[in-house]
Amino acid sequence: MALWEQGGGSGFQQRKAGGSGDNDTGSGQRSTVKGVLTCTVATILNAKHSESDNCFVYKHLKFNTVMVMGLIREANHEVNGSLATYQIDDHSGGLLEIKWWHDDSGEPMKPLTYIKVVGQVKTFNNKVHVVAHHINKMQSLNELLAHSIECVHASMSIRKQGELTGSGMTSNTSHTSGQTQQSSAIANGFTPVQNAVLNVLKTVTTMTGYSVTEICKQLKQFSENQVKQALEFLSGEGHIYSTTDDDHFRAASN
Amino acid sequence: MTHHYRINGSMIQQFSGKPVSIIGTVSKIHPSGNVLDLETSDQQHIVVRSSDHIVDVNPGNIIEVLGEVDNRNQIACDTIVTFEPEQTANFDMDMYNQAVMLFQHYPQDYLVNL
Repeated sequence: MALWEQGGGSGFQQRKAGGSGDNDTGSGQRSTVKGVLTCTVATILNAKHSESDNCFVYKHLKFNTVMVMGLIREANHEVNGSLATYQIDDHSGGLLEIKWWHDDSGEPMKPLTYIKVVGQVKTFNNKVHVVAHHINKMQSLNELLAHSIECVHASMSIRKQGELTGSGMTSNTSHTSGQTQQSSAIANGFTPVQNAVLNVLKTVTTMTGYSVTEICKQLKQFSENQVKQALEFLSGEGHIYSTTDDDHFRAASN
Repeated sequence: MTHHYRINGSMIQQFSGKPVSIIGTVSKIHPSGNVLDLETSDQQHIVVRSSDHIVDVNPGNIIEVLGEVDNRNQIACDTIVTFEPEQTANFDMDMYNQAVMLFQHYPQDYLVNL
């Protein structure tokens, strides 16, 4: 370690800015919650903006973009402009303001019709509203029904995910259409096969290492093909190397 | 716009005095023009009293009624939402009935402002 890296030395010392950490946005500290959350109007109205998470939070839900469906109670169209403002009601309590910058195509939506909105949640003057990316008239009551059920499903999925991984869940994916995560343990970035092969090779004591056949003997749960593919991957990445011939391997970190 | 509970016929008594939303099929409109008979998603019949004269509604139409359950187990309704025929064709009333019960069972997931 170089003198100047030893810290506490007289003179040059590393200093962290204030208490808020460095401005290194590349560290992923201010990563944005991506994905669209299907939710109720009440969820959005009750949400608070979190500076640290850079998103809106309500209970177990974190979001920036939402999909809601509700009844238009009030519609305001700018006379010579492109901004339409709707107050929508999905009966979960409260009215949600939707701002829609539209082109002139399509007829203006009227009160007492149901619309589906996808957009970004914003705050202004301490009040939330949604800036719409898409607005569509409800095509069928089944759509409203499906949407309401999806609100429950999304919330439930997220809640269960949170319970499984504990509060350390900093994943950005609020992918809520019920798609379960690839929870088949991708540990350390390796698949189970790759991990197993690497661990076997780490136990090597000879310079020759283990042959493919020997590795397969130790890993009866995987097929020879799987082991060969894992070996190819691992050697390509530099975690293992071939020794006497293409059939024998050792782990690089031995 | 307060939270309206989505209910069916058998839940009416439970929600006496509360704001509710009911989707059902109109079976009859009273001659007075202010009262209608609605068949709910669980095939029960309830009486809906509207504050205004009921327009644009015909027997057989599927509508949404927003109002309060009064002490006679009837709905004092302030808003009737009508739909276009294309919107209600093929509406799965059974599924809706199941969903209504789903929302009751999962208050921690069907998030509302109580």
